[in-house]
Amino acid sequence: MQLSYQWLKDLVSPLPSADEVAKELTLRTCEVESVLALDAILEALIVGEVKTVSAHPHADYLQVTSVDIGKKRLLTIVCGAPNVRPGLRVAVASAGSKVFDEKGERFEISEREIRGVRSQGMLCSPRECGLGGEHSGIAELPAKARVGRSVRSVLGVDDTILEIDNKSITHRGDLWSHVGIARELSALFHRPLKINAPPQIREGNDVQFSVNVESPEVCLRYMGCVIEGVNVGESPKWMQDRLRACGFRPINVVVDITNLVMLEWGQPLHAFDAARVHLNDRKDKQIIVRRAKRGESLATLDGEQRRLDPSMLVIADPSGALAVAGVMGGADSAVSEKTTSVVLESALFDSVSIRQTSQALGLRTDAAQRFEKRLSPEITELAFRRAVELLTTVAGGSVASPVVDRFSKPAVAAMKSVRRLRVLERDVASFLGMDVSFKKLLPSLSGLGLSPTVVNDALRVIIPSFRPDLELPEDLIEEIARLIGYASIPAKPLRGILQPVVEGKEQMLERDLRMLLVALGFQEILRYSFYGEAERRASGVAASGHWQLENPLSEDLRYLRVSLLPGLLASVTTNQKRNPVMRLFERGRVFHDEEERTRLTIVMTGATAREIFFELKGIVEALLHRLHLTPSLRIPSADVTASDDEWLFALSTRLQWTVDRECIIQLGEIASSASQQLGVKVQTVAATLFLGRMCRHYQPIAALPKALKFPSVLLDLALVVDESVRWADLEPILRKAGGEVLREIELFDVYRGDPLPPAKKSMAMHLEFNSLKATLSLPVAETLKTRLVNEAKRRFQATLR
Amino acid sequence: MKEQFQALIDDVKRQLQAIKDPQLIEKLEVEVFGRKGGFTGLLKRIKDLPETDRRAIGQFANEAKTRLKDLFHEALGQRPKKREEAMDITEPGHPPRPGLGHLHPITMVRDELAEIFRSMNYEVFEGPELDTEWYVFEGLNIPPTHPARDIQDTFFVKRDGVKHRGHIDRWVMRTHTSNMQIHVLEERKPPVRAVAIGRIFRNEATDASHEHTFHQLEGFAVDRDISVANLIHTLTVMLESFFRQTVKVRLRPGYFPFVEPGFELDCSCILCGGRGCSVCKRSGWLEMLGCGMIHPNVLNAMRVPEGMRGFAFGMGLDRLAMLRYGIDDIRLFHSGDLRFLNSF
Repeated sequence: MQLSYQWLKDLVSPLPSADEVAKELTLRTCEVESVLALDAILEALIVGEVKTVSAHPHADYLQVTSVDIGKKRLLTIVCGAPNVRPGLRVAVASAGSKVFDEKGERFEISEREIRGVRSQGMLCSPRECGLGGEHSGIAELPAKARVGRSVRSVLGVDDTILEIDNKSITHRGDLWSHVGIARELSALFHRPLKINAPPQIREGNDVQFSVNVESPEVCLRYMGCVIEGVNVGESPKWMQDRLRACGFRPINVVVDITNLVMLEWGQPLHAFDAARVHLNDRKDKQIIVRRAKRGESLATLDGEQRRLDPSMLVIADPSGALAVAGVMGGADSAVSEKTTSVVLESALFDSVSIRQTSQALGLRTDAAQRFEKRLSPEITELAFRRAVELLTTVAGGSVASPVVDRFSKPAVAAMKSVRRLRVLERDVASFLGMDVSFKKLLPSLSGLGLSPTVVNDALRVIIPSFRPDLELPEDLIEEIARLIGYASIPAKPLRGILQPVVEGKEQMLERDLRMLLVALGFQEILRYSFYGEAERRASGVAASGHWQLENPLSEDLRYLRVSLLPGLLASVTTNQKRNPVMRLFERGRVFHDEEERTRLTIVMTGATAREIFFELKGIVEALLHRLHLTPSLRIPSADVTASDDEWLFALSTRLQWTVDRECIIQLGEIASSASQQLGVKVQTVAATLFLGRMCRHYQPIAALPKALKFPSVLLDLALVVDESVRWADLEPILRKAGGEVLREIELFDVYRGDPLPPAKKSMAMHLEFNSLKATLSLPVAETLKTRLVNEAKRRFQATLR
Repeated sequence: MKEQFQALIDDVKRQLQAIKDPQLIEKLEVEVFGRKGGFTGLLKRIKDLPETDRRAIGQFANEAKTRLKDLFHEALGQRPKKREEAMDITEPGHPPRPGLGHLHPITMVRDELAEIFRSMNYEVFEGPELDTEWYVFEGLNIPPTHPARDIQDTFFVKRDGVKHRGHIDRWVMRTHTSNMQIHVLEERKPPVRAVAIGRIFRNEATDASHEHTFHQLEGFAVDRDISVANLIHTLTVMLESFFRQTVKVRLRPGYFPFVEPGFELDCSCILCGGRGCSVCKRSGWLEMLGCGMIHPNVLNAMRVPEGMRGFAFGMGLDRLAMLRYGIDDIRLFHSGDLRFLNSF
């Protein structure tokens, strides 16, 4: 929302400088995003006349114009605005002058090439001029503006604009107006507020006017009357200046008055061309406030045909809808130069209903923005009187009908009930953490319109109707605190019982894993929690096995991930050209079934799958060792129901580590179908750690294995066996044969090739024998070794190499 | 072990007496000292010895090595000699293989903040990313008609809702970690000090400063007599610990439905110290976080006993990471681009 400093100055005087006002508002009321001195900006812009417009040779959406700015030569300016046309008076920023970009920051215009055509400046949009609002086309200056003069001299604007962050006033409907802001300023600066209640209306009786509110639950108050004899021309300059400063384009005196009163009081108003509002054949007028009928439609002011439904409220006459209540008027009943009499409306609609309608129609108009907040039924009347005052004094009209005023019961109740709040000095002091004196605050609280009284240490206030946001004692404490100034609240340490905060088991496990992986050269990455069809297919899980977003930002972000792997593989694809060898991991949430689960997935890429497979397997074994986990290894059979992530792994190399039959880690090469789907060109192996399950078995602290007291005997052994004999078959047999004296078997080499016969391999291992009871002699160890060899011979026809 | 080294030496001596061909002598030397050689094999086993024996055996192994080398030199008709190999210590070091890995910058910020808050007696949580409307909105005093519930801000998930307090709560991707205010108070009795750090989601078009997925720290304390002054102190200490410099903070009015009063907290610019620079847009202040005193309706939803109140604050981690590491595009965090990630 844009505020005019000059306007505020009329309402509160004397008023400190615009910068001072902006600072105090920001610290105590709402955020002022920028302070723009309009005169300086507009002085530098020159009135030009567009002479010719021709197509840009290299760009479809651009045009090349020649513009007269009162110098000997015409300027060549490239322009993309749809409304540029010969004869138009425009605001020209020539090289060296400064204008505003979309973010409200100033930038300097320079002469430059635009797609091969030299442009000697810019034709400005209203926003670029600092006038705010529109940016869809260039500003159209009055046809009588003198070419070559400064835009400031033509528009005569001599004002400073304060731009308020709308988000900071969402809860304060009263602040969407100059009067509301002025009230704050008067309280903050202790300056008198100069607001006169608009005069009472002298009603007419020439025209019969009636209002039928059929939906009082969403139309809380409706005031209207017929005003005849309006002279719809341009509004006076002072009014146009105010509107422009607030980012509004002057249209005609009637529309300008409704906008001006809205900016002044925060109450949106609407004027219908009375010629388009009927009751019967005579000049009697009737307004009906009702819900739209199914299938009803209306052409709104912006030229769009709007389809309405019964959730929406319309303003209608007996023959049909005239406006979408509180959102936008209809094109047909709009006030034009031909209009001589108008029906003026000032109403209060239900905030939720307006918000839903404006959302459904995609129309966030200035009116809807204000109605979405809770407004005051009292202001409905003040604004109505103010608009009538202006229509009669400025536009030459006279009130031709009685004033109709329809109240709903809740509005009557809201008006009549007196809401009070009460707080105690010591409670406020304890809440804020500082001493507070209510007495000193009385003038400021009065400034806010709260009618305060202090009895002993209790403060009582009466809440005015324009402050529906003040409901609880805490709301009143906020008012007190910001009047004192937040800067005076000290910093005080929290007091309380100190209890040790122990890191959870899951957090410890995750931290251990993270640190180990980083030490092993892994890079942590984060991917979105959502993915699209390609990743979905790679995951091997049907669309029906995925949760889906109802309203995704795009198709690639439609599914909630069931696995971290597709995202990691997509990262492999992104990086594989530059880094064929990668070590990546991600820790994050996956979503399926009823529960959300935490996973950690590791991915390694390299030249040969075999090499990285065993490298990653070694890493997983090291991690397990470090975490004191001793799961069993399992090769899942293909017919077992696929567990999580299983589809992504190639069947031939899939491995699982399980505890109590629960898979805690799964490892394998990536299935070629998944790699192809995601464009992975390098060899990739991965391991998924099911952290929740791992955590159940994880003991952060474990006793160390018994230290060996006596020296070990180390012997080597190489066995030649059939290729079909797997290590997983051989090792347990050897261990069993060796008994507990055989401490360790380390397979250090597997050899295939000459001079071994085909389909045979040699497995070479170090054996460590150690007894916990006494020093083991070499012959005893040798005997044990022989036992191993014999057992291997018996079971696998192994031979010594 | 000693005996085994001695046996090796004797064995080499015996063999050398039999060989005269220098090529065969060299071959034998390679066999002894090579990767799978007898000497290397013995050396490898030293590490498995008990700590107490290792030193003595190690020393003996060195002597054995010298002795063996001398034997080979002698056999080749060379005088035993030691050549000091030249060493240029200005040559670059050998990079570790594989190189060092890195944590994601968000994780680094997250770990650090968790540590700061643990040290201030806060329990650390993460909480669900997919949650129901009660925890994300209603429990936090954001009724269905509130603008923050607009469909354009929230990702809704196609999933059967959950019956709660007489109506059906839909599933949403949480729009803030404030959902943990309600979750934590379901499990803990006040006094409570807790932070929740995790992913949050907003249905927003992305650009250099906007993401649909980002990270937030929500902190809150519930106890007797908690004051705005406590809030100011806690946040000042937190920011000073994180940025490792003294900072000034200031509160401004801010509106968040789950706190009353609500504040925006600005921190003196950590780059220019408040003098004004391009990062703080010459204001000297950085908008840091939203905070306030927990709204009475939220205290009710949390079933906090009468007489207790609390403060709460929510802070974006991505922006903190961007400030700290000078990152100018928020989209880099989830890009998975190693050129970006490897620079940490």
